[in-house]
Amino acid sequence: MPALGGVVISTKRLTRILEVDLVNRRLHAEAGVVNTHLTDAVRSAGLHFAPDPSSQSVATLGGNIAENSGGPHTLKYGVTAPHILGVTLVTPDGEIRGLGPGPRGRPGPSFHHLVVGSEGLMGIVTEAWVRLVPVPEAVETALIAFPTIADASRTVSAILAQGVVPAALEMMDQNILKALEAAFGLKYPEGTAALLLVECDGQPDSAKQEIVAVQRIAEAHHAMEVRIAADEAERKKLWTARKKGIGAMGRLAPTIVTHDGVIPPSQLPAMLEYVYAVAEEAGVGVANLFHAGDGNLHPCFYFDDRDPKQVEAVVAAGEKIMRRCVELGGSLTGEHGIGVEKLSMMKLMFSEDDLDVQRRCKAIFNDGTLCNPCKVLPDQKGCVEHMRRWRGVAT
Amino acid sequence: MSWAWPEVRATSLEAVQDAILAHRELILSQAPQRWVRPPHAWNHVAPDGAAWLRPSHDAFELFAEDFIVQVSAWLPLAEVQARLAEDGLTLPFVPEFEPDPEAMHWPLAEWVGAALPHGLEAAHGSWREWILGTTGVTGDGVIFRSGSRVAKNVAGFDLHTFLVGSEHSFAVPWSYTLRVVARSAVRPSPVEHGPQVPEPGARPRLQRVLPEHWEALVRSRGDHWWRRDPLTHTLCWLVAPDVPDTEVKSFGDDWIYAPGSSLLGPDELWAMSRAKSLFDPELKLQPGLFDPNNPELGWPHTI
Repeated sequence: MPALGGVVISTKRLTRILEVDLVNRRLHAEAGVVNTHLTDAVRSAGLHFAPDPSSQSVATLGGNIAENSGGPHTLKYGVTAPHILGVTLVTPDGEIRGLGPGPRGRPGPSFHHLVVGSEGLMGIVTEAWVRLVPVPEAVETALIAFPTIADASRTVSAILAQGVVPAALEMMDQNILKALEAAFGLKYPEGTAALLLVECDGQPDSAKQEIVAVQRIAEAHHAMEVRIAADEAERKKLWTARKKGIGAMGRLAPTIVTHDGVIPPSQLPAMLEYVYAVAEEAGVGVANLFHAGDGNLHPCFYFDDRDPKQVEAVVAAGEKIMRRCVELGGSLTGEHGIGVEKLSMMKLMFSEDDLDVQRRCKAIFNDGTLCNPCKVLPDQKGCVEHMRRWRGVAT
Repeated sequence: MSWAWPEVRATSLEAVQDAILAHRELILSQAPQRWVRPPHAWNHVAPDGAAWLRPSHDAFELFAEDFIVQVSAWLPLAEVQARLAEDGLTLPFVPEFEPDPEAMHWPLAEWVGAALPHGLEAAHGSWREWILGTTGVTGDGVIFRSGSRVAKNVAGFDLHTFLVGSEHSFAVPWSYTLRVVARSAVRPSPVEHGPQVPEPGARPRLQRVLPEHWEALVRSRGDHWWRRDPLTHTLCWLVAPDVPDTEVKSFGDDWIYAPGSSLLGPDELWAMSRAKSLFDPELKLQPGLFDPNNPELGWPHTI
């Protein structure tokens, strides 16, 4: 949403893959290339671009860079930043700046890391060098049913404490399961309050050992059922709950709003109780489907946006949850960004001095208001009206 | 000239921040130039009149269940590892490229400030992938915090990642928030060791190349002391005292950690000038490493 009379510059037509450098496991592409097309270009060589946001079939490389996108496999592979080796940035003064690439892990200030996740405030990324990593030789996937959220949460902590770092460690609560049953007829064991989807990958032996360890840990924490995929078709079936959960929620209400906050994983049980209590108080429904391994919550409120009171209640409930995330030592956002929605909440996380230093970061490349004003950094000049407009759109 | 930093024996990061705030005026009134690299690292020399800045506090807060530690930037690496080991945890870091046997006793800030490679990097990543937050003071005295206490966070700009490897050119760090791992999860180091007896007076040099140049790099280094990681394509070797750094062969698209071998490209040097003017306008931090009036001299200009 452009502010201050701005225009939208789309990079969607910058769709060329400029160079595939298999020897050095890197690829040079324009910003409009769709995430999955990067992997398509190198799959035959046994490589892939690891960041996999849920929107990866439509999300572009430029978008991934702007948001520092995550996804279900970030627990092991990290978010977008460590997979970007360099960027070409057009700064607000019209200059074209090349930041990187080079061999990974170079000493020196990493300017391209400052640009990744900057939500377009530093300029427009037009090209990037990305890192390619080998497709794992083996993947083991388990879907585990628990009688309580607390049992599932403790299993998450125990898996990590054992030194197992799964590629994915995702949780879905009872309300997601209800939606899946309504939409797709999927059945889970009677009395299931939470599902964990765990994926371990790597060498065949180590992936197998890890999933066996996960099974043992889950059973010690009262798992009701552990389904381990026997083949790729079954693996895809187990992922259905995770991949189709949000879509299935359309069966529960006309509107859903997904939030994005992060807490230390040890706080999961208490935080989920809080989320349910906030939703009940607000008089709206809530379901949780999220990246449990790194504490990245996605409470999804379902409601009817034709009722202004419900909209107001959902906005207020979302802000309460974000506030609690920060109180618990977490973050306002793990992968969706600040944008305009969470602008005013930045002061919950950062002091005036912290924000002053953040403004200096932006000013390295953009010392004016030309690129994406009224986003990320609060108290920008002339943005009050834009904030009001956003609230108007939201309602 | 010595840095008259008051002794602060804080036990929490909050206490550290309180101490910084309480002594803010003192910090700002200290020597006009501040130099934070200790003298044993990489044979560098601090300019005349620069003060050594090594603030003393030993905050160490472990959130074991979440695999997070918040720790003073100036604690020695060995002490951090020992305290983590009590809970079965570790930073997946072994300083195998460093010939100095005392390297484990260097403070964290030195390792992070230089973003030096290490023996577990291929399996566990570098400092940039473990650092979740930092507190520090800019060159003009603004005390700030960046990041958070969780592994996944995109609120604001990744200043803490940007500062890794910057040699404290923009800010002096006070604390770091880092990911740690279970000791049982650490995979063995692939680093190969060559002859173990260093030649007297030889200087360590680090070089990393693209995979396509690895064999050529290995062949070019002879039989002197060396250590190399075939997975990250990193070689550390000792340059004989009579061999100038200008004779070190470059392979294009590589980096060499040596005086005068600029690690930054022209646009990054432009950005360096901009960043220096914003974070350290009076050029108080790390004088000599970078001259914003002559960016073509490169960074680091001296080590």
